[in-house]
Amino acid sequence: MSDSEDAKLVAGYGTNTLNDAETARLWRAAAADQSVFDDIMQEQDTRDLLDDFTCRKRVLDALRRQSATPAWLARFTFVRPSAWAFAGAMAATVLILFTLRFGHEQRPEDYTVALSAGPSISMRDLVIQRRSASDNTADPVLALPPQRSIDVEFGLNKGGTRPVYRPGEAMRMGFKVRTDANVVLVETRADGSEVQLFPNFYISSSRVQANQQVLIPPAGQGDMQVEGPPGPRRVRILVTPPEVDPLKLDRSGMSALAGRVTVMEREYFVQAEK
Amino acid sequence: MTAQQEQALGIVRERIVGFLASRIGRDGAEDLAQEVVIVLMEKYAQIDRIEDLLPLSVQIAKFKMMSRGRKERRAGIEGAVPVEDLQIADGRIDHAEELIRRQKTDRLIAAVAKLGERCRELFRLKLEGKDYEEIRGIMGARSMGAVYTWDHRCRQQISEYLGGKL
Repeated sequence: MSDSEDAKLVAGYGTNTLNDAETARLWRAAAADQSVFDDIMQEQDTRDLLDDFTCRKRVLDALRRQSATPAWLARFTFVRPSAWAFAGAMAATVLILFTLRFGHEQRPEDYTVALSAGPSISMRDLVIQRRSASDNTADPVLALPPQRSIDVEFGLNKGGTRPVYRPGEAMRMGFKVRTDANVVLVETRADGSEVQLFPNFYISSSRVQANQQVLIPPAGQGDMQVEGPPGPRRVRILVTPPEVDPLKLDRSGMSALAGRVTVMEREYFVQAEK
Repeated sequence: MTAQQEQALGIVRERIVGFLASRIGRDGAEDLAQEVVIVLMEKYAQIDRIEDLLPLSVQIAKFKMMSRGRKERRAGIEGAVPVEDLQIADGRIDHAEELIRRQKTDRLIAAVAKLGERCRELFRLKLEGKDYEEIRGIMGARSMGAVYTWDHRCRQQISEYLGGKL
């Protein structure tokens, strides 16, 4: 390993922490020093792993759990005897909140949305057709592998790894981003066709504000009735920074965004009609 | 091809051969480096800066190595399947890949758990998407150099706990 400061930036390469200037410095160091290049090649495994939303979240959750415990214990030791009652109550509250937040690994399927009371609409009246079953062109939205850069939650009205729906059954989806962003949801069906769930015929813009729950169909509308070919379906959520319009990107433009976007996938299954 | 690009591609070739020679042999490394350079010349002819070409070369080399592994498995007797049974990839992550990914994550979590408090804090901030300047402010480091050095040492420890390979 080179002793130069630029060579130390390899540690930031694996976690995708480097800004543009640091990235350029690192690659110049790699051009000058074989050991730096070797370190980058070895760090690529870590980078690939942490680019995956689920893996990154698991490591982060483990770290948060580990760092949270000693800090809370340390605070308890400083509570004066006269304040034990108050401290006990606070500790119980904190423990409850801590358990709720970190007590289990949050998976994408843990986030569920409620069904609406209003009359349902057909799924085909909401979605925008992106690709027919016979169309073999590559969709730019599918260009990137799952990865995580922007915090996002996505869920259906049913939990589980792969919820099952009957044709005509009511369905609702929802998502929330932590920062302002652009979001596109595309569903790939068993026959190879693709429909765009968001933006849709009700909401024409992909722009979403921070911490605002977006529902599909939108709030105020009834739920959508599942329709279309039976079989597994994969919903892909693509979240880009607000200055990037994902609907205007071609495949190479999308590939250039790697590391700056969040790509999540969620599956559900539609039963065949009896 | 410009002189600058020619020089940069020479460095790319040298770095890839240098990395791979001890892993897949000199001949294989040179063949693979040549394939990477050809892709760079054909697809990225307009790029001539080494700091732009090297990151591309790492990605291309990685894909070429994966492709090479697949070809070698296909050529082998073991695990061979009749041609009529060959499946078309459906684009989803397969279970074996998912298992490997999970095991790697477990190993990384175990390694990170052994770190000291400062390293764990630094790693957590990086995973939360903070850049080094923000980390410097949060952790109260005097200079960016100090943060780079901390992170470099933390990475060395993780690498040691992982036995040098994730």
